[in-house]
Amino acid sequence: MANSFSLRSLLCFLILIVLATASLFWKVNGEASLMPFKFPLHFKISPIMETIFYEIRLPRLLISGLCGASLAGAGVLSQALFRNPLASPSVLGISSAGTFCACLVFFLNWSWWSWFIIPSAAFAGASINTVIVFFLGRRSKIFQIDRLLLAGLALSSMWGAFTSLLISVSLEDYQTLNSIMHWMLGGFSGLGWEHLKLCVLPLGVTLLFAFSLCPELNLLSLGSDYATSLSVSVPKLRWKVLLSVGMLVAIIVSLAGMLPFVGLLVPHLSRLIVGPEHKRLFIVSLINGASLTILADLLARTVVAPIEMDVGVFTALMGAPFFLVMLWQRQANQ
Amino acid sequence: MRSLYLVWVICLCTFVSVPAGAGLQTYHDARGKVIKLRQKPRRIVSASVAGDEILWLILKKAESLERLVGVSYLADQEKFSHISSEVKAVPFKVGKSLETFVKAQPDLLVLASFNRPELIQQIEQLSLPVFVMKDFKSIGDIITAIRSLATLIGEEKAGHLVEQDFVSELNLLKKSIKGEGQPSKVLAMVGEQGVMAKETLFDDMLGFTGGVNASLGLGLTGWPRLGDEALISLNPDFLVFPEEGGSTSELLAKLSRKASTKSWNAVKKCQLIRIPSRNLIAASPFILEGIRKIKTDIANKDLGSACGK
Repeated sequence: MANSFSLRSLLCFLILIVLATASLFWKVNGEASLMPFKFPLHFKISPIMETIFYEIRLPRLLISGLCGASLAGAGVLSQALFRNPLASPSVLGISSAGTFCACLVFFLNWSWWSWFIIPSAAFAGASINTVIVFFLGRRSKIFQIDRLLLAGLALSSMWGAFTSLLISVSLEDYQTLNSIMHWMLGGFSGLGWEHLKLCVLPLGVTLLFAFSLCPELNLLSLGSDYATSLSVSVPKLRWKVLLSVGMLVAIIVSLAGMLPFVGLLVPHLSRLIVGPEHKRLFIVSLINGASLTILADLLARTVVAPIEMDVGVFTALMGAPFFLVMLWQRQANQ
Repeated sequence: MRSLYLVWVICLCTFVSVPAGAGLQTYHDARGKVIKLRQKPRRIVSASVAGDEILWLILKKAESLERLVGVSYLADQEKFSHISSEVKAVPFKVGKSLETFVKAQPDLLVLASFNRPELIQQIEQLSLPVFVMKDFKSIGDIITAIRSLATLIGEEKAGHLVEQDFVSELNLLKKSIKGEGQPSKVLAMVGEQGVMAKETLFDDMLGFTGGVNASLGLGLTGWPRLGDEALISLNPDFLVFPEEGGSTSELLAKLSRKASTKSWNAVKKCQLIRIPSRNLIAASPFILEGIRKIKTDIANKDLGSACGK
């Protein structure tokens, strides 16, 4: 079993390496002809190619991989929290809140102040939402899953409505509307080393913390009563999971906007590969999440190059059919 | 032979404007639909800023501005319209809902191709004559719109004068371009990654400024959103931004940070041309204001003199 896990996770890792290499060296419409495996041998490259490689592609690859991995990690946590394989981090309304705040910055025309303002606003919005969900989800200091889910759905709808309001009053302003729409569709364009520096530590720490919760999540998956009988403090565990999901999603949405289906699709896919044990599931989900977003980003950059499409479009295009198949299979099993 | 020639002339006249009865004139709009007008329209309503501005210019020349009874709801906003103060007196501001159109009791409605099709359909169901203008992709399209609107409202003479003024101004601007050396590469950005490429009014404007669109080499049309790697290769000498999008120093600070834009000549030399949004998207003879501003700034040797200060 352990060998099988190593082999499967190695295969996933190899796919990630292949995708990352392709993303770094893929030729884009003749502009950046960094052909595979030639680049490390030929260091005499033009300054423009150097900028493209070191300042555009490399940080972008790392950010997209990190965001995908984190979102998949958040997906594993969400599915464990709700004990439902069809749950995703977006049900808590965190990404909707972050998106609304980012759109508000565009609407108020503040986005030019600093590169830091949009990530800050989105992070603030997502964090506020997490705190609200935190308080709405409990009753007499006892954590209730159904209350949490309902609060998340209600907040998600509310933030969505506010975002729609901003869009409807910006319809005539082509600059604002353009910025809002592209933010909502998610993507990694314009992100550089400063963004990576901003997110790498908090995401890394949160992922490590989330990983440490995996043994307890295994027990929780067998039922709250069973977990409690094995001295797991279920309410405490749920708070920790909720805060981890909140932190991860808040950071991701503040950098890349909405990336639909990653948090839903990847854990489920990984569960099919390595089974439900949370430690393995978490590791493989991180690898697969990174692979999925790197692939989506590569497609967004290259399908109609030099025009760039939004990454969220491709994650949704890959995720939605899979989700439908999952639903169909569940129905067939029942 | 003579009678054949006569038939041919009659056919030609029918194609341009068919009198389908006593005083009944027919016109074709951008959709190819036939609009029938029994008499010169007295209550004209426009639902796009381009239509508002062109009709206003023609009717002003014809000294019958009272015939323009409704303009788009954006017409009195300075950000979008060049006639924001002049149209304050126009009684109706029409827009998103059908009611605003009905209230104005028009005998001619001039709409744009981007107006919602279901709205156009609803208006037509009320038996109101609707003329839909075609898209504006070049300055030639503005001239075509002046001609067709002038004919439609029965003010060919005034329309001709508006067209004449516009064309002679354009010719003057074209003649005054100094043909020394390579033309400057100019880029207008839409949001943070979008550009105004070929088949846009901006691209056509540049022909009268002494500049050339920096995005031409990509062979794209419209307002495409480019990737960072395509952006870096454009390297414009001048950047055109709407006045409304932050201060010039804020813009420069942001562009200097981004890997895809920091190496641009325009950013290094601080050559940012700021013009009001309305001048950048004007689809009427008011486009001249934008052309003049861009032309002046391209020729201005001191444009980037505040760089680094």
